[in-house]
Amino acid sequence: MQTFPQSRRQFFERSAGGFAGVALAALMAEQGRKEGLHASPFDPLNPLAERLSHVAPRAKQVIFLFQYGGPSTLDLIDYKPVLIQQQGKPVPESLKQNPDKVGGVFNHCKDELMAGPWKWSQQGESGLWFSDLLPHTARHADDLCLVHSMYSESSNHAPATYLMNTGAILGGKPSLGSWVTYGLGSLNQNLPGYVLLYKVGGLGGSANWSNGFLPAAFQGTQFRAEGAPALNLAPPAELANVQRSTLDLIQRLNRRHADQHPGVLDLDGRIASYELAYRMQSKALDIGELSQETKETHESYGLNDENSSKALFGRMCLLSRRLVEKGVRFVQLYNAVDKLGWDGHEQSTDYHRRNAAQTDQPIAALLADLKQRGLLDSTLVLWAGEFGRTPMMQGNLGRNHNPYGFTIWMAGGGVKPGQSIGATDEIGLRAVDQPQSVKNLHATILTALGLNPDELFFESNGRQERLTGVAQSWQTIPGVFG
Amino acid sequence: MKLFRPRLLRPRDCLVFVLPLVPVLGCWACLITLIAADELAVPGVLRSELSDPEHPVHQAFQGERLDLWSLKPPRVDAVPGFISAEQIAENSVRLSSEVIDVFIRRQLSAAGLKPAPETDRRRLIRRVTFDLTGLPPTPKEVQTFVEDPLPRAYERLVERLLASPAYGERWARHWLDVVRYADTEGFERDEFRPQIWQFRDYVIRSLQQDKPFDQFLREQLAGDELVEGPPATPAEVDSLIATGFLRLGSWDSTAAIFQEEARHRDQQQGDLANTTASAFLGLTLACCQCHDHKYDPLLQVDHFRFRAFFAAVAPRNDLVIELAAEQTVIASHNAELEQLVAPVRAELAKLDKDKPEDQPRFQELSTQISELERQQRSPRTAMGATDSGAEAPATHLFYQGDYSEPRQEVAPGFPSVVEAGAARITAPRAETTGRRRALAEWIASRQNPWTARVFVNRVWQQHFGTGLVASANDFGFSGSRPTHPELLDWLAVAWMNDGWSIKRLHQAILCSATYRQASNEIPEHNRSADSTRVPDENLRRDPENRLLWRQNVKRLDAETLRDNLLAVSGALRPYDAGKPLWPFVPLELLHAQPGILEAKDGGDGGRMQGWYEDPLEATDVRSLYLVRKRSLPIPFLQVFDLPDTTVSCSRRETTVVAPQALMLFNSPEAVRFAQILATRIMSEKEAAATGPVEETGSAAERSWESRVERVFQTALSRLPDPEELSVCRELLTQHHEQYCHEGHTADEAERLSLRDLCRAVMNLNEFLYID
Repeated sequence: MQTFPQSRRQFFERSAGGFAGVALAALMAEQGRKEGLHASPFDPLNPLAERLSHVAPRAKQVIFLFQYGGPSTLDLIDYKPVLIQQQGKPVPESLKQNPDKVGGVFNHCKDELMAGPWKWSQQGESGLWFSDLLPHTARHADDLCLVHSMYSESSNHAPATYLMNTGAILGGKPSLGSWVTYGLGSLNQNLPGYVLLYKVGGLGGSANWSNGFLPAAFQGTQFRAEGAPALNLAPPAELANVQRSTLDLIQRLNRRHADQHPGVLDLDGRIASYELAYRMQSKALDIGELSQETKETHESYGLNDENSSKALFGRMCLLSRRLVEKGVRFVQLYNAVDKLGWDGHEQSTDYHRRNAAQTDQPIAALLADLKQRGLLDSTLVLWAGEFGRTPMMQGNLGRNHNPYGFTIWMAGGGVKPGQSIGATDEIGLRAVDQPQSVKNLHATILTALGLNPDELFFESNGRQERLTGVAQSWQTIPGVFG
Repeated sequence: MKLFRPRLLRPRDCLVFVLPLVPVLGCWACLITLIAADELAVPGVLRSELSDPEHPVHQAFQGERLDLWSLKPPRVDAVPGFISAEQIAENSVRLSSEVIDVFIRRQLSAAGLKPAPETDRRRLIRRVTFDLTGLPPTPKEVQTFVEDPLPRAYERLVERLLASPAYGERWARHWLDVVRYADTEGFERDEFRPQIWQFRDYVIRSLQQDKPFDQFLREQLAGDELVEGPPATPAEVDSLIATGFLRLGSWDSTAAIFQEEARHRDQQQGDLANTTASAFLGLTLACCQCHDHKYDPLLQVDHFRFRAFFAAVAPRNDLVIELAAEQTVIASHNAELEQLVAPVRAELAKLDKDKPEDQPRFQELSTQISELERQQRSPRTAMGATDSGAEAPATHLFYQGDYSEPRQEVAPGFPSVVEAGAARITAPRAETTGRRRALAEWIASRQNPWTARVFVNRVWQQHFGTGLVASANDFGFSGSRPTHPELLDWLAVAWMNDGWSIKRLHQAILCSATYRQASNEIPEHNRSADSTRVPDENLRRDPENRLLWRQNVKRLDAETLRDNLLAVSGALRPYDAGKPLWPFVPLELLHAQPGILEAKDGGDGGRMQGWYEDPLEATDVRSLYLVRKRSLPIPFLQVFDLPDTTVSCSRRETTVVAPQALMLFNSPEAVRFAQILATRIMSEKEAAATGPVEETGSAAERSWESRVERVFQTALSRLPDPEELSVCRELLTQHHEQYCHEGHTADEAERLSLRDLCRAVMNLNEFLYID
């Protein structure tokens, strides 16, 4: 049983008046807002009820475009002329001596620098550099904020993916999306607050969107890009016509049962959850109705592209816009359509051509669409992999994982656009100017949402657990908000 | 006020108690005498020792934090008529249900609360059967108990349930949560651990056998150090299997590829220390890994002293668990075969397989050899651990918990607040350090203030929904205080006196009037008497039911819910323990973990990264036996608050969310169970139709009514009341018409509408929430 003294007592006082569960939950959420309960403890009867942030937010919603496998940002958005000049040469001695905390990267690489065959150019007013792998994203140069100086704490997929998604290299902690929905609830009670779209998830599996020790209400829910939007949204076909009458019987008997159990909150909560589930069926089905979108929209996202992987990713991007539009708090996409992702240990160039071709146009379309609908101001879009890749060649024209320095970008949601922050060294190996931890990135995202990273905590096993760990052990990435 | 709070006068509670008696400041001497006479914080440690400015705990916290309640040894006071001073003096205080009630009622009456009356027998058997076995009682069991005219009917029921194998299966689940059991390694590859199920079965067996808890914990921490040479008895075999405990954490098999061994070892060692401290001691050692503890009298070095007990742990996947006698048999069997095969090999060596004339004989001999070799037997092995040798690698304190910044070397030791020096360790044998045995003995010691309290609290929590200490893994300052400290202490002491017997602990708790109270609903036999209604006054004064004026309504956890569906529908298959089974999971969900896809293409090099689905019916076993894959929890269970397996879980969450409703109402898995139940009840009807004809109503009338009754009896352990009968009938009629209208035959429509009723009943709150 949940024990939340405050809301429970309030509930009890009101339940003496004999409200039905659903009405009551709605009433309580409403009441909470009126009373201005800042980051109030969530209501177990209505866990996704919208909660106020600690301070006025810059962004309300998040779309996280997770780039699985470790994209080589050196080939995409971290322009390194020295690397191009030094193509084929050994790594400068000065860069070999660094005592890196995370081991192993050099051991698997040749002592040979490798630049990709890309053409680089400056884009927009801001003059940010892009390789010709991302012609569509490049048009949004003036919307993006690039952070070139990220580093990770493992050069290994699963721990680094866990770190980027949950703030810890061990799995099992709540994910960013879970923390955000725990902190803020959602804007639409008829849809899950935290939705995932993937064809293939990240290494380490569903622990990347786990609610960890947070209540299950904050678990990521998978939506599909094809077919019915979510599993079990509808019953097996032959039950479609008896759905409402069966539910009515359940609710009728449940209410009798709840009447016989005064003061047992969960029983009312469960009655409400069945109504919500029923409403969700139609609302979520509606989300999947991409036919409601114009032909131009379909085209811009690449939905009709002959590259079926691109078309699939395009559908995910379009769905994420529709979800945000309907008030879903946190949407996360995984780029991979197979188990390879950006993980180009061999023939890195092929990997990057393939992945860029799949994702570039849909992502650009998403940015444009959000902007055009006025959603970009309140939606923070984050593009990040678990780490970058080495400037040294590995094996046959491949690149190894590189946790020492890589680039991510953000757009919208109060982020100052058209700028780049921090830098890697001249060959793009290590973050040297303003190195930023993943923790700082998380703190920045929470801050954008008006959440104080130190005040967003949950008690577990006797510990005040936070996404960003020990209090004041983080800082927001300087300059992101201008 | 400063004057009244000199450091010498700690602990605070003592001060509060003494001050009113000492109105004049001139009584300093008297105060000091009183404090010196105060009992020891922990046997062996004088308060004066802790107030020594040289003592590390004193240095860190200046004498603060020593009044942590759980640091004081459990204390039992005499209760007239129940606990005598002699019993306390002789250490012969025993578990008893009456004493539980005395302690509970004492606090209830002090708070002006009235205990709820005993619940009726139908609810009682349903409650206690779920609590002990995780399964529903059968309608026949309910009837037998309700009608049992003999004395001690309930006590006998408890005895029967405790003796059933299902008891071990149910309670193993609780312990497996605490020790974060899973069948796979976790991380990128998340490989299957083909032998770890033996640990799961060891836990089941230990509970079934009522193994004393002190022994149970010794085996898990140091089973290998308790056994000399090959195991001579099944108990010694179990002792070795128990070391699987040391392997249960997640394991990143790719760490070495990227030279991240240091990070990985740091995680492993920290995880072992933290899990052991949480599981057995309720200490949050994870909180003092980077700095001294924020609340409790634990130093950063205490975390590393505790780690050092595990420094020599070496993973073993080949721990031989065959009995010594059998090992001899196997060895001589293999030696005999070897004798047979040796001359054949010798002859083969003389042949030249390239010479045509040698070829037939070569072929013949090769076949002979491989046949003989195939007869070789290998002894059974388990996944466990031993020490790597007599010497353990050094353990260092890490500056701010950072493994890349090792500082001074640290020797194994218990929390400094209990014993500041290094632990005294003697190795039982030459090839092991004896460190874990020393730790196990300290934890299993009667003098340890935490062990017994922590475990009795876990059992209490399962029977009441909340522990006497609500934070079962945290007995520190940031955890909850006990609601009934005297009861907790008495339970701990009496339980140890009763030989750490878990079954006796159950008996005492379950037979108490406190456990047997109504949860809420007014028991049937008391309905007329208005005075026995659950008083609104109670609800107002103690809405949380912290003082236990009633039993709590408890929601079934994920596994029990699924097991309930299986049992009620009749699909449940017995499973004789062993390898875990892999249920169906939709392909798109398998895609969550690319490691699984790699295995599908055969790209995992035989590492078993995949999902190895078993036939549907084969997986109709208790959920305990389904595979627990770290990177892909079974969706049906996950949505009902299945805990993560990375860290110890002390208590299941019970959240209420719409995806649960979608799962139980819409998922093909759930609908299937409704179908099976409907089919079963239809066939029962046909069997019953051959019985004596009843006197009233038409056959059709009786038939639908008896079916609804069967559904209720099977799923809810009770008969429907007239209103329920009528609404169920409405549903059946309406759905029957609907299905006929859709073109189904009348018979088919009958089955389908009954299935819909079963589906509804399996979604009722009453199906998931136990009174």
